[in-house]
Amino acid sequence: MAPAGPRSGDAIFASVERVNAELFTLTYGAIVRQLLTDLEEVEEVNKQLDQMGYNIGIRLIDEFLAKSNVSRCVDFKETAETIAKVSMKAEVTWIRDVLRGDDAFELQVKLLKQVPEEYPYKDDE
Amino acid sequence: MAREVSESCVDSLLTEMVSTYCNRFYANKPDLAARSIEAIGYQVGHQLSERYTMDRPRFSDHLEAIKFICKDFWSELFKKQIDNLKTNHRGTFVLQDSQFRWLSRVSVDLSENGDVSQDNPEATAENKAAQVTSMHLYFPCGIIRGALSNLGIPCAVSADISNLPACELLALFAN
Repeated sequence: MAPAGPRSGDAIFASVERVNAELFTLTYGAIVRQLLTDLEEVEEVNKQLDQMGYNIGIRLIDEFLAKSNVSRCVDFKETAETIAKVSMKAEVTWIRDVLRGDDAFELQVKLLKQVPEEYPYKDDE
Repeated sequence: MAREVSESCVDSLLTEMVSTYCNRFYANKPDLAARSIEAIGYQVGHQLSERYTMDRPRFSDHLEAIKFICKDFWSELFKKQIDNLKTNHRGTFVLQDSQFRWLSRVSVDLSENGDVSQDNPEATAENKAAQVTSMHLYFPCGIIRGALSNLGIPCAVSADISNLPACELLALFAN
């Protein structure tokens, strides 16, 4: 382990520039709404959202690594633990309202720790 | 106390939104991309102005509404107010933000010799960069249009970024 331990999520969050969370949540909701208008198919919308999320995730992890002072994770268990314990305190709470056909839907999503899908999660190490 | 997120979340989301619409969906149809981005902004502005005016009485006139946009609304979004407001008192308002937060990290290199011929790949790349930058502006334009529309003032909003990082937003009221 590196001599200087990883910074806590609270400390990191206190040190970065922060903005109004409502702007973030409403923007995301508006994006989903517009995607549904433009693409019409829910599956296609989800595919695009997944791609967007992936691209955003790559960028956020760079910032996370730069700010949190963690050493390189040896395996995926450590990765998951690190994300769970030291994750950026940028929680967005979303709940999905599945009333189709209702134009004025409200979307709220809860961002949990991200689990990489391609690799099996090693339990016993 | 209002909840907060790190600014990089908003920055990433906006950048990704513009990139998706400009590069993936409407790669050769910037007008359609612009329309969608502006529509997203409109939705956000509409809802935000709803929340930020819940506890106050209706605005008495257009100037009061614009001043609300310049002060309280802008502060909620960008932690600062509009730096300069100009009007011709006939329905045209110019809102000037001398350090527009969402463009503060955008670099636009102006071509030194002003060569915009097709043979110059650098100029083409710079034009493309300028085009992408201007795409980002459709979102705040939409926000203002949505906010004013919710306050009962239909209008058209456009932006001018010839003086980065300053941004001038032009609001034209319908009547």
